[in-house]
Parts: sequence; C-alpha cells; structure tokens
Amino acid sequence: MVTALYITVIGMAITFACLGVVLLIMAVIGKLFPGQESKSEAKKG
Amino acid sequence: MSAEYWGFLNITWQTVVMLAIGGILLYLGITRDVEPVLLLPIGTGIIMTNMPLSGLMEAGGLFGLLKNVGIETELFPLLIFIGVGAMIDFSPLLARPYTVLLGAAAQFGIFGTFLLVYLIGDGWLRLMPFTLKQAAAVGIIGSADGPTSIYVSSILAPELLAPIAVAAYSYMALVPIIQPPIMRLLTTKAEREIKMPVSRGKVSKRMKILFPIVTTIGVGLIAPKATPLIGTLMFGNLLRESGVVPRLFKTAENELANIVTILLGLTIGGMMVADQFLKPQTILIFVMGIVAFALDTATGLVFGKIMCVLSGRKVNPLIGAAGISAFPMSARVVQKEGLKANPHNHLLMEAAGANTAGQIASVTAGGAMLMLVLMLG
Repeated sequence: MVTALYITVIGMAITFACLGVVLLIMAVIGKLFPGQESKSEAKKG
Repeated sequence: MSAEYWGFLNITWQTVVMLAIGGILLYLGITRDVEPVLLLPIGTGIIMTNMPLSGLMEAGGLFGLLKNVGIETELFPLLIFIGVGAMIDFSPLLARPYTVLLGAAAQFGIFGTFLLVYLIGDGWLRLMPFTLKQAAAVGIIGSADGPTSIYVSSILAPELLAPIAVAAYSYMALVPIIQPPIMRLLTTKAEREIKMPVSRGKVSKRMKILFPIVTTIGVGLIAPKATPLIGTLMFGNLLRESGVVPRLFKTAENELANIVTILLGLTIGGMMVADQFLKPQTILIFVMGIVAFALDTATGLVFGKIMCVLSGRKVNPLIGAAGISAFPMSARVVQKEGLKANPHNHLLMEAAGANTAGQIASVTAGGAMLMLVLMLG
C-alpha cells in the first residue's frame, strides 16, 4: 500500500511538473513570438 | 452429428450474454448515436469473436493476428494519436496558458482510482485479485483517453485490456451524464454565473509550430515513458500547424485515423471473449471507471475553485471540469452548464483550453504511471 501511495503522490507531482514545463514553454515562446491582437480588438482599444 | 463442427451445438449462456452485449453496443452506436465510430466496430468484434468455434482469437485468426500486430506492439494506439494530434487545435490553450494546470489537476482520477482498486485488491482488503500493475491499468481509465488507456494497459495488464478499453470509450461518451451532477454539487450558483474576461491575444504561427516540438522534448525529458504518446500526438499536431504538408495532414486526420480506428475497434471487440470477459473483475473495472471519471471531474472543479479565489473571481470554476481529456465533449458540457447559470456566459473557448490541456496531461500522467509502476512494481 505504501508503494501505491508513493506512486500516487509522485505520479501527480510528475504530471504537474510536466504541465508546469509546458506552461513555461508557452510563456517563453509567447514572449519571443507574440501574437497580434485581432484588428477589431485593436480598434476598440 | 459431431459437436466440434457446429456452432449452434456449442452455445453456452456466456455466448448469449456476450452476443447481447455486442448487440447493445451496436444499438447504442447506430440508433442512439453514442460514439458510433468506436461502438460499431467493437460491437461487431464482440459478436464475431463469441461465435462458437470461430477461431478468430486463435493464433492464426483475424483478431489474434490484429492483436499481435497492433495491440501487443502498442502500434494501433500510437498511430491513432497521430490522427488525434492532427485534429486538435491548441490555440484556445495557447491563448489561455493558465488552463494547463486545470488539465493536470483533472488527472487525479487516474491515481485515485488506482489507489482504490489496489486497496480492494492485493494492497489490503483482498476482496478481488488485483495486482499493482492491474490496479494501475484500471486507474488509467481516468485518462478519459482511448489510446492512452490501451497503450498503458497493453503493457501493464494485457489480460484486462478489453474491458478497460470498452469502459474508457463508453464513459467518454457518457460525460454529458456523468459530469453535470458533480459540477452542480461542487460549485455554487454564484460561482457558475461568473463571466470570464474575453481573451484578446492571438496566437502566432511560430508559437503553434514550436509548441508541439518543445512540448515533446520537455515532457519526454521528465517522463520518458510518455514520449511515444506525447511524441505521436504532437507529431500529428505539427503536421497540422506547419502548413507545409497538407497531404500528410489530411491523411493523418482522415485516412490514417479511420483505418486504425476500424482495426482497433474490431480487435478490442474481438478480445472480449466470454471466458475472459465475464468475470467479477470486469464488473469492478466498469464500476471503477465511473469513479475515475467522477474523481477527475471533482478534482478539476476543486482546482478551478482555487483558481477562482486566487484570481479574484475572474476564473469560472466550471472550466475545471473540462480538464478531463474527453475532447471536445467535456468543453461542450461546461459551456451548457455555464449558459444554464448565466445565459450571457460563453465558456466554450476557456473550457476548450482546459480540455486540450487535459489531453496533454492525460498522456503525461499515463507515462508517469507506467514509469513508476514498472520501476517500483
């Protein structure tokens, strides 16, 4: 049972860590290659 | 009249039950439009393989061959993932990066169910025989993703693959029934009414191209066992987003996905032979499948509530329920529940972001489970 608990905790930690890395990747790429606001949004602004 | 040549002389009650199950799946697929793309080949496979003396699951039989070539090698789920990746648009996720964490939170159903099944099995209560690997394979139903379920269970517990696959695909179709009661139970009306600010950002083409490449590398370095799944998913997506291989993209999205779906569905149905399927373990697998989906939904919603508080009520907790990987069904369910609470509240794009994040998260969680169980099991 201890092994199963360990797998559960570490498994969720790995999942969050990987998705955290994905978030970081998105943030970095987003900064390096920003998209543009749509023209209608730009006019409103 | 020698019984070994005549099918009708070898019918058992198990045969009748399995033919009925195959018939029910065909009914659901054809008449009720419940995941017909999958239930039709699965239902047909069940009927064919349970015809007495058909020999389809034997070594040289059609389903035996397809099982060896496509399931035991993990080939079919990986090829399907190329098609899935080609069908997914990650823009809603890329425009709303915070939804990534909702995808992660909603994978708790995998590990929570694994824990429960092991507790019932060899871990403590011993009410039914479930080893650590078998419990992990049952838990993976919580990925709400057919290819991931098939991939992981074919490695950890191939003897349970058929009921696990059928449970995963069936419950994905039942998301509109499973999720709404949980969503209403765990959120207040005031929370469900929250109107989220419109995301103004447009995602650059470079972002859409770099995302699948860098994600494969990033996830693969942390959870190497997830590389086949995340790699094929992202390869399909790259075919879509690169814009330079329209023929390959169209083939992945259509012909490849369709051909492998036919073969995979038939094979899964073909593996549901009466003496393997009609066991008490199978009933528990189907029960725990619902538990897995419910836990996924609940933890996604709870994380959504946390984000709601931390953001100063800018995030509607309902979108947490879309962190489950049942794409795009779950996003539509969230949209519907959001509109019920507030007719001016369109949550579809935010929910789609969480839903696509759930796709990545389920693959990652599946890889993590595989890695840890093989390492420690």
